[in-house]
Amino acid sequence: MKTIHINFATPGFGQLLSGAGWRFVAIAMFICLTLAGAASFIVYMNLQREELQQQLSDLQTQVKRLQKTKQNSATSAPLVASQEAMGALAFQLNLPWAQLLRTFDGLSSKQVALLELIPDPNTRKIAVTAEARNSAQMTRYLESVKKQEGLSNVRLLHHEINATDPQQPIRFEFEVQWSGGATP
Amino acid sequence: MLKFRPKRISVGISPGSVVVSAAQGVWRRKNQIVAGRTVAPEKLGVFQHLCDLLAGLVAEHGLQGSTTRLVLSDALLRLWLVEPPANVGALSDLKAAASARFQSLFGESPSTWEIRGDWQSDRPFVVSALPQVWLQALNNVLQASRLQADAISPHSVVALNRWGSRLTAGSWLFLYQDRRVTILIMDAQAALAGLRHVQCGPQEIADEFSCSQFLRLQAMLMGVPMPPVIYIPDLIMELGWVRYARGAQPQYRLLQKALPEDGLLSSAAALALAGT
Repeated sequence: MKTIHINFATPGFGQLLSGAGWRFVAIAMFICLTLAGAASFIVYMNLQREELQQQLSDLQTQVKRLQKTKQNSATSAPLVASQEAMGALAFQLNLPWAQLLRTFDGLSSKQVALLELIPDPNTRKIAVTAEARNSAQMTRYLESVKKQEGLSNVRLLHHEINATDPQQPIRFEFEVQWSGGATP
Repeated sequence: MLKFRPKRISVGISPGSVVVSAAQGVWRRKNQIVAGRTVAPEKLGVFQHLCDLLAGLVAEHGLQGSTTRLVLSDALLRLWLVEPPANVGALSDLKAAASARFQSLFGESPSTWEIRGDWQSDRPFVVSALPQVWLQALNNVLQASRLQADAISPHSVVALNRWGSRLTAGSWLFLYQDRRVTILIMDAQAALAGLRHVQCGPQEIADEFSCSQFLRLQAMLMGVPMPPVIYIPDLIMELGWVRYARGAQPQYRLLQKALPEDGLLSSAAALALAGT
């Protein structure tokens, strides 16, 4: 049978705490305690997260500082210059000097004297300065250079008669593209 | 003094007496009568005097601040059953129906009465009325004595709520208080189907034969058959014979298990113990 609710008492706190009210209050307290526990847990987790974030940002700052220091040391001018110099030196050393000298030695004769040989590793060009007895010898020499394997694009840059020399030889400069041997 | 848990007491108020009971004992809490007062014959029926007696009992036994359940004798208030009108739209419809029924049953306006009901729109519901002056007097005493009343209920309602689950289909619940009998009739589904509240002299229920005759008359007046079982929750003086009525037709069954030493209760004591 269902409970009959007839009560002349003025509704108040007394009714809340009576009968099923105790259970209600107990449940309400349990819910309140659970909520309080959950709230404090959330606050604790937030604090932990903030602390961890602080640690993370500290570590990031530290990493950035280290990276900056490393970058600074890497980009320091003397080191770069020395590295470049070392690279250039290594490139120079890697050039096939012997082969080049052998080629040009074979071309030189009593008519044509080789004065200077300047190779440019970047453009793979060789600037050559030589002296010939006359223009015919010069032309012949250039023709023979053209015929050499591994040398191409022979271009006469400058020629003049050396008036100070009693034999009046022709000093001429030319460049030639070198396509064989070591690459820069 | 600050108390962790306020003491719970139950107060039974009948027209002639006021009794306070409380759960006592540390391990096995047992409801026991704490104190009671009887109204002087010349002040019988004066409700204010009952309130004064209650205030005196509370002061004398230091019960201020207790949580209290008050059980009022059915003789002090009016109790009736209302059939909800068809097409109920609001609570006010049920209240209007209860007021109309009050007027037709008791022949007076309900304006000076405090009406409380177990408002139901789909089945008959119980309504009770207490004079507003009396309720005000009671509230004044409760306030003055610092008693926290969580319930002020009629005895019939308390008994029905307490024993309702034990009542079988078609049975009656029989209450006797202060020369008044309240009969609560259960239907085939063991739900409340009828209520009768009549004056009854003690000689009319003084023995099994008289009581059976009285009940047959009531059944005839209500137009219902005699029940197979009649439940009696409180064994009070006038019904002492019920304990020895074996094989009677209808059967009388006592619901109260834990009776005081003498096994019989005074009217207000039965009310007080019903409330605990």
